[in-house]
Amino acid sequence: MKEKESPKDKPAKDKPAADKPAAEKPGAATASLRHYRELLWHTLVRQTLLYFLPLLLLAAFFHVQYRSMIRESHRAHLTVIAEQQATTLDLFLRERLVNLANLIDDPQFESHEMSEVYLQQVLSRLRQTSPAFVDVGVVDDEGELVAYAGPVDFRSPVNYGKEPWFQRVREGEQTLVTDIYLGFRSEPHFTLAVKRERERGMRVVRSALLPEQLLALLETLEGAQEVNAAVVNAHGVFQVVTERVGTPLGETSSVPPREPNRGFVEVPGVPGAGGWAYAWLSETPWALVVHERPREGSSAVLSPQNWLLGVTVLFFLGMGLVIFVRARQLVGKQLAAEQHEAELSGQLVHAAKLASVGELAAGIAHEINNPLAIIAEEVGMLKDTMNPEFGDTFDRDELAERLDIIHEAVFRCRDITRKLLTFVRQTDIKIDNHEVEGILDDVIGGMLSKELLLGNVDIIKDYDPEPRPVQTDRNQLVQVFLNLIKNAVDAMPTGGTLTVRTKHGPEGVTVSVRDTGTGMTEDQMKRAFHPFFTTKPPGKGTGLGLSVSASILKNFGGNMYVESAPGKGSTFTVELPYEISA
Amino acid sequence: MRQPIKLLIVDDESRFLSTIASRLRLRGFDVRTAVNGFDALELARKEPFALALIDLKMPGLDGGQVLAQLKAEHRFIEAIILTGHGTLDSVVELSKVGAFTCLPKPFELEKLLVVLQQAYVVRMKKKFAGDPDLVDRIEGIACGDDPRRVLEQLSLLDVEP
Repeated sequence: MKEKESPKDKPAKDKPAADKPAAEKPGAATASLRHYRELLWHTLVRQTLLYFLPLLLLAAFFHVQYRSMIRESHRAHLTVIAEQQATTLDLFLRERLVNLANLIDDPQFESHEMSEVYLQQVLSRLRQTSPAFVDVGVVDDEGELVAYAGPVDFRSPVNYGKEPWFQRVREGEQTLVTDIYLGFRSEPHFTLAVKRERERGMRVVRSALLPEQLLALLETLEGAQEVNAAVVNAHGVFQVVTERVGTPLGETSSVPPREPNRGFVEVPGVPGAGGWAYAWLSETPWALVVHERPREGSSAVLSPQNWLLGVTVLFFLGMGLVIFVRARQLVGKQLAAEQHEAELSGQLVHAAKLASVGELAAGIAHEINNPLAIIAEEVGMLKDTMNPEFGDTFDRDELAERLDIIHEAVFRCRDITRKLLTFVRQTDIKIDNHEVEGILDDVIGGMLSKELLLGNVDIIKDYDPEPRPVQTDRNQLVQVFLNLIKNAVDAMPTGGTLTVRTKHGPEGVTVSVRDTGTGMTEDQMKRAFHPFFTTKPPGKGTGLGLSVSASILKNFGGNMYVESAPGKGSTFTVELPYEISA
Repeated sequence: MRQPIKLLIVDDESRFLSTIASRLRLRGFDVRTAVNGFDALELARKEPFALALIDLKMPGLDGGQVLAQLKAEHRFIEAIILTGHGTLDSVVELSKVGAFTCLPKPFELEKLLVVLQQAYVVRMKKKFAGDPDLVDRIEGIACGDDPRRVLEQLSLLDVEP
């Protein structure tokens, strides 16, 4: 059965704080700075991932959505403007056509149509209705302009027979609005025409309208200040357009799609709404095209989206700062806790040591009584020899002999107390090179020699023939081996065999202490290294020895584990590297 | 004819053993010594001992085991355990096994003599329990305050029934 166990959560860089580290401050300082930085970094990363990142992603998501919504609403707004303007234009054209229809349906028209005067009156009435009317003319079924009232001075008779609009009218359309064209005039205009069939033939009343009128109309509408509006025909030719964008009869690249009959066209790279809105008229195949008018100055920068973005960025900067400060706090706390833990573990080691000292002291006190008893008897005997009751056999030679014995006994006492004092006295850690075999011999042959003798324990030493020194603190290692060997002896109350084996490998040395004692169950092995766990009766064992020994080894970069079976004894194995790699 | 009281001492410290034996012989005991439990038991089988001093901590058979064995093999022997440490538990334990008492080392010889006297009185009373008159006489002698005198007088009465 093999159980590997060593305390897990001890920070590797700590030495027991109760024992002051004498000669390693510089190394420890840079190591602890590195540790602090590592810890800070880890904490920051953790905090950022946990709090910052999700929030950032969420904020970014909402921001994108917000911008998208703003844009959508902007486009919708433009589209609405386009629709309104288209509707207005439709209405206007329809009204004008109605005006002309009323004219031609007027019974007076029949009789007076040739009269210039009549036509002038008609024109002024038309112009009262709407200043958009430029002139009015009557055309017969041949296309001859039979009557005219208006500003244009036709030098010669005019025949519209070949004009496309006249042909369309003749072919069947009752009312017509033409696209813009030059025709017989020098400026672009478009014509409204209304046809009626009479017994004498077809009569067409036509009137010219200038695009400027329509433009004026468009520009009075609500929302006109935000946009540049233009009316284009199905081929993209401007009909009515503001100077800022183009001129009538000019061509535009913004040709709206026929389906749907109103909407928004995206144009990549265009700022603001990112495109233009359109709406088709119903009276004539024209579309109203509405571009956003670019705003002057810095207002674009201070748009709500950018303002929101700015605030968000500031917020996250603030949050980042808070996280950083908090991380430092947390790290500080953790370091303090680690420090505290190190101190506690140091105290625990010290307590365990004192406990072993206590145990050792008991054994030593017993040992000392023997030489003391010898001294007492020798002295008593000498007094007896001077006692007349016992024959007064005082003899100088005997005196000398007994004095020697007393002297010997005194120094025997000194050796015994020294065993304890060397272990007790030193509290400073002193790292040096030692051979574990030497330390083992001291413990077996010196400190625990009497215990082993009295315990009827046979000792087998199986040391590696080629030992190498190990970097360690001698006192702490003494404590570890003392603990292991004492435990072994205690496990064999009726005697047994203690086998101590050392084996040197390339990296370190393996020391094993085997007893033929009571052994341990699976459960006991698991808990063997736990602090305060003991199988000894109350008052006999503190339960600190193994846990402290294990932590001492861990500090040296070593390890300890146990194999045992009930009734078969236990083997405790210690692994120690040649160089401390804590 | 007066026979000195036979006393067996067992201790692994040979120097201590020889010196204490000499001192007790000066005081009229017939002392035999052994450095380990096995030798002690052997000696006891060869000669009858009235009293025994047994060191507790010895290699091989320890004092408790020797005590138990002696008490088993010899009916009227009284044993005193000598110990370098004396916890209450061990005193109680050893009394159960049959020790008369425990005496910590080092000790005053005078104190040892008093203890030996008390142990011997107990032995005599047990050995001659069937003779009430004798027991009375023993108790009378036991009141004396000089242990050596008491022991001397009692030993005169210690004849095999």
